[in-house]
Amino acid sequence: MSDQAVIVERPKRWDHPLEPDFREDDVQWLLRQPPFSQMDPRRFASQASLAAIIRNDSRLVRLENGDILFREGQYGGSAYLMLAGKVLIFLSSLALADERLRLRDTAKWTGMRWLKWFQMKRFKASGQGNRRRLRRTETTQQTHAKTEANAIGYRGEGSSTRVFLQDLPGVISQHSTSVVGPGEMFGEMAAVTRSPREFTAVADGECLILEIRWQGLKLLKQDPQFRKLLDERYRSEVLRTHLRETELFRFIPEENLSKIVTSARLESFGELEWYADYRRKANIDPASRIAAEPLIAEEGNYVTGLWIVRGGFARLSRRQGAGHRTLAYLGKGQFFGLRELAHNWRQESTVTPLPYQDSLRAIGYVDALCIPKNVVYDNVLPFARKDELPKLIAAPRYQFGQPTLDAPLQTTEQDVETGLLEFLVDHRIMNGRQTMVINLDRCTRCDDCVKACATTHGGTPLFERRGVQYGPWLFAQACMHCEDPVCMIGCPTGAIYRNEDDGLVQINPQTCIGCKACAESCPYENIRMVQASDLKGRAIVEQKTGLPILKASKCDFCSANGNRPACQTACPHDALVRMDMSDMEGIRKWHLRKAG
Amino acid sequence: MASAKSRLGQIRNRRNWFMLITVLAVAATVAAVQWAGNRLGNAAAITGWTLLAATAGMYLLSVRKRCIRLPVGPVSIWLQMHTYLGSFALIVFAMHVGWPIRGWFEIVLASCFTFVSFGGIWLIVLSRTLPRKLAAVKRDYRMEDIPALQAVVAREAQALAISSARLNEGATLAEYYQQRLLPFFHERRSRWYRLLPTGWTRRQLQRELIDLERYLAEAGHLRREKLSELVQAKDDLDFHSVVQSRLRFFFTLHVALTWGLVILIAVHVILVLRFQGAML
Repeated sequence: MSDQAVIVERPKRWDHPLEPDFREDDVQWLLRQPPFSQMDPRRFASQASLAAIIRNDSRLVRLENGDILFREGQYGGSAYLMLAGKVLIFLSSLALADERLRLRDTAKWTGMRWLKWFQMKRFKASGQGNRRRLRRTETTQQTHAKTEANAIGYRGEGSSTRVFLQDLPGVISQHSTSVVGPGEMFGEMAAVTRSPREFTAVADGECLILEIRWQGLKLLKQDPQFRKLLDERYRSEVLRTHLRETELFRFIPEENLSKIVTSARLESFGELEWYADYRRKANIDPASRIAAEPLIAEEGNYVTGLWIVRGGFARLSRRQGAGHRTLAYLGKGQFFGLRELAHNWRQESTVTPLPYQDSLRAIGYVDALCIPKNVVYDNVLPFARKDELPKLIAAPRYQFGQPTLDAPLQTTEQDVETGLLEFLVDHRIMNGRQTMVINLDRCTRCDDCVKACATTHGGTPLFERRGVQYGPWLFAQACMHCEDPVCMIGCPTGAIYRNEDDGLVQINPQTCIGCKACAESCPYENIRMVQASDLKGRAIVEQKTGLPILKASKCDFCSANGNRPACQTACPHDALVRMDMSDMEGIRKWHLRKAG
Repeated sequence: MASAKSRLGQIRNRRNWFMLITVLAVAATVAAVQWAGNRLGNAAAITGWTLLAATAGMYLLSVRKRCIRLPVGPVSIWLQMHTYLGSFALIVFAMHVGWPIRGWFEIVLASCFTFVSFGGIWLIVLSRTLPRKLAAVKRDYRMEDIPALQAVVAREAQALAISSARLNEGATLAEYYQQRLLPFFHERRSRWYRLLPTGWTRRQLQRELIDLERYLAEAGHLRREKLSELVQAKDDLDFHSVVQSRLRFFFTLHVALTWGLVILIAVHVILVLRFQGAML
């Protein structure tokens, strides 16, 4: 063994439990409480027993009156089980006094920010503005503008500091809330779907909560009793909250909303761990690949209901000649079938209903909600604003009893050109929130981006200037900080996680055990296993085998540098940009941009 | 995390601002020189110090590149500033030098400044035109990967040619490889190609390979097609290598001359300050 190497024991899954000081008598007490007391311990492997899961993947959280457990919009990797007391779920957006302060403090006055401030002043003066902001942001801003910011206070010190609402009864009176009591579980959807929290949770009086991290939750779901608890909870509360948050449903009376909740079907298409299937089918021809995608609804078929994408991505396509043409990709919260349903509802008494005009297929894995046609007719459309409903279909392609019209090659329904759209979907790049795109028409191949990355990360660049190419666009092998980060699914320790505030996917080298699960599940091969070393640069090797200890490594979006990616900053020719692939307008503009 | 659309807007705005500032700076310098001339002042001192300040400002690009963590805007802004400052400096330089230039040191200094300036302009032209030529090639290659890929292509072509001799279809392909393709795959491209990379040789070889079609049977056709693809691949790699090297060469030259210029400017300033009285 070299003197230069540091010898350690191979890291194990539960080396860093969620609560290092979890007492054994607390674990035993929890095992006697429902739902654990109703679970069958024989369903769990001996290395990951029920007691071990509780001991390592959960912790007890004690809250006082008004304490905020989590906030709407934050990313979270934990579910919560109420043990004693109650928690209030705020169904309407809650404006907290520290949010504006937080926003003001986090952004430093950099050169770019001065430029933005100056532009903003100019926009305001000319009465213009960025009208195409995300709907979510607008809603939040409107709510903030309407309501007074709620006063908050701080309790405790250091890492155990808790934020609490100072006037909880006053705040409750202004908002619609629901109550979670002992034995109930909440917050699991954000943890399971790796998406932002849809509501704010606040303690109403003293309460005791068991926080279970996503890795433990995944293991607990092996037990049917636990799965049942989650399903019941989803049906009774989460679905209602989700629908209420959806723009189209916001004016629906409670009574009608209950009918929608009762009749809605939650369906899943494809495999949750879709990366393996994607790799297998990467080299087959496009027509066969699309044909192999799980079909959610097919063009020309009778309209059975309204589909709402809950998680993952779906391909909206249309038959074109002998193949299929992608029109768009639908993500969380987007509808399918609304155009046809609205058309048929308006024309119900006069003409024959139209079938689906397009097809919807699961790209990888899709969680979708289907609200049956009659329920939509009776409980959704009558309460929707007319200007929110799609226009009548003037020239339908499919009509029952009529020949199918040939789709024109030119269409105005796409935001970007067909080839690029197909490419983004085929390579699953639409998943990226910070995709590194290099315009090769401008890139002089100076490698300043790579050098800057290396400078910022101790001499080792965290990306490679190579990858798939569409025309002059190179999608470099850098972590895209995906909308649906499948790399997180298999991580046994939670070392790869989503940052609560900005949603960036990060790796904690302290808890990474080098199991390669994330690297193998990243469909874009953007995570690499590198040899671990200490601060002095000495290699860390395993005691028993003498083999090097590996750690996962990937682009961290220069989070230590205030989320200013060095690669983008260093590009002298504005050839490199980190792009959100859901920003179709941005993609279109960037694509049409001329070199030079 | 600015969106792509807003970044585009920023880039356009920035260009307009820099152009406006440059025009104003030139106008201010011309007015100052005029003003000094009208009052029998030292116009050369005004242009000299302005030129020194502008040249010093251009070196800030190097500093910015080295301090990438500093939150002082992207390097592209600094490069743009460098470019417009360079244009400004070139105009001030024309105003500063006395025509004709006298003295060997002044000639060397003026030549070096001119080389650096026009080298910079040439770099702008290259950085605007060559990336598009590189992007026109089917695949992008990283400079450091090219030698290895060239070796792989050459090995593959050789193996293909040797295997074609065992097909009982004659040794046409193997012979052709020996005579025409071996130098193409294994030797460095000619000086002319490095000066002016064109697809002439590639097209010529691919045409000759098509001409061999009539002497080949079924298995030979497949190998000929594959060889033709390898010729294309090798030519693409050579093209990337030459063009990327050219960009790097001119960049290195520009930087090297820049540091030479620093020394010459320093000497010039010392001489001017030392003999200021004599000049007056």
